Amino acid sequence: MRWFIIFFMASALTYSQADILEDIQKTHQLRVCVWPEYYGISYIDPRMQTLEGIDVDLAKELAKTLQANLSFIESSFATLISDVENHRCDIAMFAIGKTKQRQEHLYLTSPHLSSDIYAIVSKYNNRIQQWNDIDKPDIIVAVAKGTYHVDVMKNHLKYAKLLIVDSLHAREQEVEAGRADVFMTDFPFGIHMVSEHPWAKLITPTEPFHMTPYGWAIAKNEKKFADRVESFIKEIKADGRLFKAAKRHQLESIIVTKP
Amino acid sequence: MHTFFHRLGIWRYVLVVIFISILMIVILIKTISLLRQEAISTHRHIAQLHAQAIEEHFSQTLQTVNNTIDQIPFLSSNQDSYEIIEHLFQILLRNAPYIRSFSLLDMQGKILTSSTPANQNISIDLQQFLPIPFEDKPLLRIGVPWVGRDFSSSYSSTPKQPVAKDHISFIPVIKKIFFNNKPYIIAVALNTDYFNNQYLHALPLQDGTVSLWRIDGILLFSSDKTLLLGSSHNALTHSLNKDIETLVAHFATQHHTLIDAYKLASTMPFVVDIEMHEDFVLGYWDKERHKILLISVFLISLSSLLVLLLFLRYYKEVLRQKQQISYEKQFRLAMEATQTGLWTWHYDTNVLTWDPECYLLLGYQPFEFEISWEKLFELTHPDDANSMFASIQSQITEHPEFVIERRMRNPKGQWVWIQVRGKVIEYTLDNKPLFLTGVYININTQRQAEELRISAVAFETQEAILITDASEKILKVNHAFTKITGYSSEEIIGKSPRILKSNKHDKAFYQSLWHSLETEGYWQGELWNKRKNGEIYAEYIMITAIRNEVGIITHYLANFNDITNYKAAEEKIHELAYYDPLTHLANRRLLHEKIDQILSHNHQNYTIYYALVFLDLDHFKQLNDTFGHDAGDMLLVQVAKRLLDCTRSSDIVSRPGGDEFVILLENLGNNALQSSFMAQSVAKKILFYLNKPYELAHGEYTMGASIGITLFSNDGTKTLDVLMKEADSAMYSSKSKGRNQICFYEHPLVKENESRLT
Repeated sequence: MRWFIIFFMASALTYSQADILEDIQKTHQLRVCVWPEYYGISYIDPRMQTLEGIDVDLAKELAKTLQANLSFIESSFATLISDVENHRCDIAMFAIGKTKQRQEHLYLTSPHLSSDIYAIVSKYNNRIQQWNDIDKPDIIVAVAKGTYHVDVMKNHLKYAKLLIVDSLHAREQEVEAGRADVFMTDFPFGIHMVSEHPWAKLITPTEPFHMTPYGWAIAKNEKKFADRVESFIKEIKADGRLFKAAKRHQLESIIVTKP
Repeated sequence: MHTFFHRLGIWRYVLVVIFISILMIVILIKTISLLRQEAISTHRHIAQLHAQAIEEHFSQTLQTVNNTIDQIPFLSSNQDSYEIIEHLFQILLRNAPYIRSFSLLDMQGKILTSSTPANQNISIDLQQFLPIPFEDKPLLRIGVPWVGRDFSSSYSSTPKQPVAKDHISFIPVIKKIFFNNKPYIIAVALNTDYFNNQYLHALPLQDGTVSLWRIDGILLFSSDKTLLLGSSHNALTHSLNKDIETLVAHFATQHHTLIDAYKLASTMPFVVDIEMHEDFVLGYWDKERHKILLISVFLISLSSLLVLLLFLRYYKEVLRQKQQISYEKQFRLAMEATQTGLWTWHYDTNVLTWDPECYLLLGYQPFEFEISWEKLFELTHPDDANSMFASIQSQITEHPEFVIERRMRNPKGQWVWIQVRGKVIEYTLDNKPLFLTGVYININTQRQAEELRISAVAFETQEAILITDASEKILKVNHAFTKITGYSSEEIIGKSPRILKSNKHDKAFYQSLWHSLETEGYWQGELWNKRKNGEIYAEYIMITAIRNEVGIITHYLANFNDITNYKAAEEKIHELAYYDPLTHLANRRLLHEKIDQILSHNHQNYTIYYALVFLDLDHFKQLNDTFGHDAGDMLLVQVAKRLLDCTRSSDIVSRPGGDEFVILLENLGNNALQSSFMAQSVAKKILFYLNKPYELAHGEYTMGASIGITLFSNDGTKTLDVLMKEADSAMYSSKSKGRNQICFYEHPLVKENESRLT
């Protein structure tokens, strides 16, 4: 038990010296933060408890590249910064939108996906038929806490009321239950909502609304690892692994292939 | 191609029908096949609905179990007291027939307490349960079927050793819970019989079977008793690390019929598999399909056959109609040619119809007027119009047909002979005529020809006929004319009838004749004419002046009989009646008539005297006796001649009989004395000549005569008988005075006075 504590402390010291890549190569262990409710990106199937999604597939590819065993760590947008900063995982791979706030705390890799903001409404909601109907008085717009949608919608909405909920699933529950009219989401979540839930209707912006590039998050001051990941991103963009993984999850339309 | 097709004739219909029939059968087979697909798809859909319903049911059951387990810490107020928990288990078991037992396990799988006390201390292999939670989250996990009623005295099955058919079984599920942050596991034994009942009710065995497979292919439950619980799905290699896609692909490929369905649960690790019994679902349908197909093919063939027959009949009908059209055309032409028109007559309503030919044969435009009985009467000659209706009626009461002939007016106002033939073709129920039809036949020509023939026959009679024009030029004569006059028609035509004149009639006669012709239009009478051979003959003639419509004489028609023989006969009869055949003197009858005539004319204002001379030959009997009757007759004839010579032609010499002669001396003046002198002188003259010798066969012969005379006048005081007696008496006076004397009759009183005077 004592040895265990010593080992743990030593490890912690090592991490603080910020060379994750070396650690990974040493331990052959890659720890990836995922948010297991992110449709198409990193979603856990409740029946077999298996993770699925483009970033899960790419994490497997990354682990293979780094010749490390892969383990997934549950995270969320709300706990993202702390999870990465505190080294709960080596890298967070669940389509992390590039926002200023995150960039202040984290290193965000070059984007491999890019999504606009989409809205999900109930099919039977007559008040919202198109994008312009959203920002109207008496409309309640739900967004998930910690997502970049919060700031974007705060700036954008003039008449509608913004409702910030705790999780992504909470958003859909609010809309389905009628406590909110619409929730804002991105393309991967949106298309999966529509295919999984018969009541859901996707409303696409009439013109580009707020394109957000998605990448992965690495703790700052981890240049070696960051470089390694960047080169991996270049590789998968070049050799089609990105496209193949995107296609498997119907996301090929939003991949960013430019290096 | 077209002509070839055309040349096929009736066969092209046959080909078309066969083609259509085959097409129909093909379409039928295709349709039935489509319907089968439709049926399959319907049953697959039903199977899918079953799968979905059962998946939802089982998911909800599991969810309820999950929620129940989650409630346990709260219900026990987070106390891990076995006593409380066991009590709680008992409460939770109520109204949960799908659960056999609740058990509380430690994290190693050992049962700490249970609603079934016997379960206590039994260890359960926690690795058997799926899914394995991500990051060790508390999830409801499903185990493999166990053989037995509950955990006690039971064992878990393996794919190699599944639950035997007749064994009781249950399915364990587990979930991690926390009592005051202390982890435990709750195990629940699910009652497979409950699900059996539920799903058998939803999907009866004869329809199909329902199977629930854990997502790794372990059979959790099946209504199909041949499947053993705990066995592996179609030799699926058993691995807990299979990903969903692999498992789904496995189930998808393992379905052996089209109507099977499976449903992957959305949140729980199991698959519902529905296998519909194809034999049951589609067997009846297939059987019916064959029946329908057979019947339909039979019916289609039958209808095709019928259609073909219809075609044939139609074809024949068309041919027949073609022939009929030509027949009708012929008929129409014949009607036109014979000027025959068709008519109909609705007897009860008196509605008449005419076909165009009816109008044409009368010279009218077709349908120039509307035909009705009024119009018909108007068109019909008045002489015919009155009788025709009655004639028709009387004819059709006896038999259906009738024939009448009548004159009808054409547009020029001329009369055209029309024969109307008709027949009753419909009768009312009480056998009265209802509908008649028939023809109008223009028989004008026949009629005219007939009339001509009759005329010709009439022309050639025993009576002579002579026709001249207005200028008396002979146009036509008949045989009788030739026979009577001796002139043939060739000789006489173009000449004037004056050639026949006998000059026996004077100018006045002819003037009267012409006058009568012009004023009365005819003349009739006896006429003496001259034959070709110069012979005079008598004729009884009727001359008619023929005038045209404006009254101008165009022709003269003379018909006459030769009455010459008749005339002669008439004279002969007269002779026989009034004259003595031997002497040709008037006989007693003529004499008496003459005297009566005179006596009856007594009304005359003046008196004329006559004398009656009675003459009897003296001793005539002697001559007869001596020389025979021939000599007597010869003498009588000579006497007659001498008497005629001695008298005026106006006097009448008669021979009443034997040797008696009576002579009537006429117009002897108005003086009685002079008259008696004149009579005496004539008597003397007679007597003188009679006394001259007669030349007889044997020689001369002399004979005297006794004459008695009586005078009379036309005053009518004496009758014939008186006169005859007086003359006779005077004659006997002559005889008594010695014969060959002349005596006047003297009235006895006069005689008495004379004798007194003398």
